[in-house]
Amino acid sequence: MPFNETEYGKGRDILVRANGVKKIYGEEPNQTFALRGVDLVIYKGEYLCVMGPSGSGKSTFFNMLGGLDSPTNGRVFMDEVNMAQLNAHELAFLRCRKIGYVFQAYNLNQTMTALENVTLPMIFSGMHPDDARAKGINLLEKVGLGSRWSHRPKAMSGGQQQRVAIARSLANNPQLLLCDEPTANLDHKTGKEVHKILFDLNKKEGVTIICATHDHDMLKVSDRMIWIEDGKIARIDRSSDIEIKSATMGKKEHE
Amino acid sequence: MGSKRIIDVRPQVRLSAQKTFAICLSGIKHRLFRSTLTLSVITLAVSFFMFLLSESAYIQSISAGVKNEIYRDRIGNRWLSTYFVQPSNLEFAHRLSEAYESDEKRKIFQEVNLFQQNEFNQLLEDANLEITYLNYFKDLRPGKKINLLGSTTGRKIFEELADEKNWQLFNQRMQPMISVKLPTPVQQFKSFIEDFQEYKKRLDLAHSQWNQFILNFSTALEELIGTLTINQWMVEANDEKLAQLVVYFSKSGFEVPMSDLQSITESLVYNHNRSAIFKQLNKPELVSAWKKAFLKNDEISDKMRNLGNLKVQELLYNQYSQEELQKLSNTILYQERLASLEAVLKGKNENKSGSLLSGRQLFLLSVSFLVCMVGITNAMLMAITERFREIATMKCLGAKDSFILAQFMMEAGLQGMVGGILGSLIGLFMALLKGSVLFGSYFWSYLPLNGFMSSSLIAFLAGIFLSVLASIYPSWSASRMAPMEAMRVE
Repeated sequence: MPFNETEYGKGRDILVRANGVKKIYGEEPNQTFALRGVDLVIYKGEYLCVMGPSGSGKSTFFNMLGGLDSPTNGRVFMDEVNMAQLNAHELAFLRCRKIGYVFQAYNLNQTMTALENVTLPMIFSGMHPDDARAKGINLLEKVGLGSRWSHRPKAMSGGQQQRVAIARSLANNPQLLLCDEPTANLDHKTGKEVHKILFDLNKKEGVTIICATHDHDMLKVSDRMIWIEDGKIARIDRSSDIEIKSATMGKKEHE
Repeated sequence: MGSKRIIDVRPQVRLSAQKTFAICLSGIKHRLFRSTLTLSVITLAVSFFMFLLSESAYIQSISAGVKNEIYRDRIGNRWLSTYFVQPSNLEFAHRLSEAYESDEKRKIFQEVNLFQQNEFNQLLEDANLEITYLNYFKDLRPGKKINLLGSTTGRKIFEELADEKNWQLFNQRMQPMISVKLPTPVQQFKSFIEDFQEYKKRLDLAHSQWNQFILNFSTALEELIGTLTINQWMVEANDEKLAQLVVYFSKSGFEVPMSDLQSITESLVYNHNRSAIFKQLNKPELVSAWKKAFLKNDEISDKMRNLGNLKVQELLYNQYSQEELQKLSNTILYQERLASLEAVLKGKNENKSGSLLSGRQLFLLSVSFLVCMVGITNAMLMAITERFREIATMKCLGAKDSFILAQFMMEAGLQGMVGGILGSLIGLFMALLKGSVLFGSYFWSYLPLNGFMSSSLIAFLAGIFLSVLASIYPSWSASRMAPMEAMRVE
């Protein structure tokens, strides 16, 4: 059953809109087309998965959505603001307040404790240290690490580190959470914990989540899946449609 | 689809320097071992700088101190010879002048016999130059000696020394001066300082005697002549008054025969040159200067000039006992040696020519600073490459470029401070070690505390400056790093 955009988007607010986004690396004779024109609308409160083989332009597209990279052609709007028009200061503001990032390699600051890591974006946004501390403890409790606020990343397992990273990404109440393969470095069980946290965030607090992943469990909890191949969107599926497929694939592998 | 600006960045608070500093400090605390490389490079360069600075500080301080002592002792020494030779004796001067063959020379001699301070100084300088030159000549290898003889001065001196008796005398005079070696300045300076201790003892004694004498004599003189100038008084004085003056002289420990005073009075009346000088000395402020001048009759200069003259020597033998002559020659040797050593010191100071560091030292210093800069830049770039993920993550979390820049510059500044302190301490220690080995007790008595303080301050500031300067490019490149890097996975 093909995905019907008009029907899906009825009554929803638009958060991010990509219009004919192209990205070309290199000069004329040796050009590489990372993206060949992508159009996409992302709605508020949505849980979106971006999939695709490596080299498909998935990471490039992902960076565009997060305001980390600018397109060669086309425009990306966030809250109706063209991100290409923002200067460095405004971009920093945007990254600080509106977008939360969760990385595959956690990217926690090794020299700081869990709490310091979580409060760092709040310091950047100018919050009072006492408020930041209270909020940081609160966020760590939300991801189930309230008692370990004084530990450094070295003393934590991968799953715990990723949970601290999620708490950090939520520091300034972002509208959009960008997760770059958050479970790729984790085992199945801890991966599931991370999924649960992200799912709860999406459903209970209405945070828009965009997730690049290969994890089938992740696909189950998401609303939509974008398949990118060769710099273009190959397919958009609603997760209810492909649930059966992935389940059968899983079964076959087990047999 | 129109795009409008709805982002209001006003609530974005500028991060205070204090917070940036705290974040930077916690970073350094956990990377202490890794930043040791940068630190050691800074420490090395600063310690070298400090070493050179404090070395020049103490050399300047010692040479200034020693020079001061020489100046003082030279006055005392001059008096020593004057005291021995006794004041103006025209008759003796005439006999000396007869030792010269030509009228012209005799005339010159008579002029010298009258008080001529300038000529005395000139003679002293000549003698000093000659001795320095001869001494230098003595230490030369044969080949260089031949080269030197090509020059006029060299030939002249050598011709003089061709006389066997002159040569013997020369050797005799060179005997106590073996320790003076010209070629290496530091060696000279060192040996000079070793010899100087002995001078000091003997000359301090002479100095105190001189002071006592001057005191006694000036009180006595004022008592006698009252408001008159000594010039007027002497011209008007009869034999009775002169006899009184003799008594005053002897009271202050100085013996002047009556006949001498009479001849002085005569020369005062008849000699225009002399009265011209006294006119100058009539001024009240110059009376004290005159008192000195009166005592410093300048036979010493003639004796120095005629030391090699056999006829004059004969005359001297007739005039003085063997013991007295020995004393005199010792005194003269003193003066010559002191003069030559002074020349050595002068040479040392001229090398410095007022600037803090010599050209060679400046060259070494700039090379070491350059190497240090390259080292720091390299180490910082390495540190930044290692931390690319951390920097990019910070930027993803909303850090501005200025924050990253400030963070790295602060780190560099802190490293420069620590390196500056360590480097100044090490450099100072090395300089103290070298100075105390080279100059011994002289080093400790002329320790330039102010010089050390100012040079350690300069070295400390140089450490910070160097570190910050070398970190500008790495910090800038870190601040320009794309936040995309945070997504990269090895």
